[in-house]
Amino acid sequence: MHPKLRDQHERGATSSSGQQYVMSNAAISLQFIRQHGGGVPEFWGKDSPYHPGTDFLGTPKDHLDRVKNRPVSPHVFEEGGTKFHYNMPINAVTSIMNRATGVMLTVGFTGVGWIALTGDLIGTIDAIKSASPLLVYPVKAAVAFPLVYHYLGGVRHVFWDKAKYGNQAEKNSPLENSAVDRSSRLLVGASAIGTLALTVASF
Amino acid sequence: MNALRRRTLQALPCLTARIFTTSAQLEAAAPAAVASKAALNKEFQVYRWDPDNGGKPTYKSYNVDINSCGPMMLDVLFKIKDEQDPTLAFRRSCREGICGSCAMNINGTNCLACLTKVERSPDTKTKVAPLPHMFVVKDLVVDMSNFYAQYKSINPFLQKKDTSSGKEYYQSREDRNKLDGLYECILCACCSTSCPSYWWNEDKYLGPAVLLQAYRWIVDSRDDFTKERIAQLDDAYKLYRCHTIMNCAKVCPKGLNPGKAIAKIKQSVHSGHAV
Repeated sequence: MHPKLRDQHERGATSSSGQQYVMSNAAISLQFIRQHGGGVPEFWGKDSPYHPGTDFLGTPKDHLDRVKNRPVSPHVFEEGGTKFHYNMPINAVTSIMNRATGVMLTVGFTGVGWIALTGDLIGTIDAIKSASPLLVYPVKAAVAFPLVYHYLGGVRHVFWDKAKYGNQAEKNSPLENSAVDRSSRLLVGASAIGTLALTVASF
Repeated sequence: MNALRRRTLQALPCLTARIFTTSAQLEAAAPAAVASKAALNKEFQVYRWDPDNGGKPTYKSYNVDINSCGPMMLDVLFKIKDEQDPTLAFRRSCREGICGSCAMNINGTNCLACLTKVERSPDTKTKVAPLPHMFVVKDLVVDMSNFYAQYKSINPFLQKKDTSSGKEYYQSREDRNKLDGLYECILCACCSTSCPSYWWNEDKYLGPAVLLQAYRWIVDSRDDFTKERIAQLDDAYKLYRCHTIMNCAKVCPKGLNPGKAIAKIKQSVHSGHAV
């Protein structure tokens, strides 16, 4: 067993507190690219702080070499194509939308911040407004949607984290399948209404 | 007593008749019953990859008469293997949803083939693939060794600080109720392999199945290592890659809810005791 894992078992690993194995964001994205370009994940099947490795199962000595030659079964996309493979339910769609709107906000606010720091933000907006008045409402909607959706998605996460959960067999929590479906539909609906309201409103 | 003997004697001719019905008679009767239904051919596209030939995985089409076949997807796979292609590899054992061997992805959703009914429409194709984002050993068989190593890492057994009493460990009815919805897990990995977070971090994130099992031991009132178990999971990857996507609860063939168990582990980490 990996010394770090044994240590966790024996002393309860109070020292790790979740920070020890955190990589920098750059390392995470590099790892992401590597994984998607093929190859075996860093700790897969290895005696590591994450699990004791696969020796106890009697896997062959060259197990990891064999794994390298195996294909990864289809997940998001279909084998060799651009069609979707996994049939994502509404909860997964609203989850990835939360991530996507977060990325949009990061990119958008960085851009707006850059303009504000290097030039005249209000002037730029007025210039775009007068140059192409047809674009005003679509642009307003494009700014409003990620704001509203990401905010409401965040509220849902706080709600899930703070909710009181009873016994596992009691099916009355906000994380039951039916409740998650309901909150997903509510999130999409409320975001659509909020986006529309912010789009037509003038400040 | 006499009445009982009389009844037994009356039942005897019927019993002997059943015993002496030959297998030949039974076989003669069976095809007639099947033939009374018109053939209903349906196309099944099955993921194939052979380690001996290598190359890219492909989907191979098989036409199966689903009217002369059992009702479940596992029956279809058996029929293909028996009658069309003996090289098709898939795992199966109990055929009644208790062993978890035949977990696979059918029409884009993870499930147990033995508990999944064949879609009766002959116009739509049914796609059969291995569990998603796993290393394929052959066809529908995936490498589960990393998953089992993760299960081992959470010490899935009762741990006591003092075992010298030699007596059984009592549990109140309320404490026992906390284990319902947890102990039924069969470790089929349908949930873990439906989870995008597990797809991207399968070496470091423990995944819904293993975390549900971890919670099963955290809430067990008889276990003495609750604090250690909670502390061991307090890790940015092992536990906190869960973003409450909730695909896990959607696919569990036993109707369990790993996502809810993980939410309670997070609250346990926060409060320092089993929630």
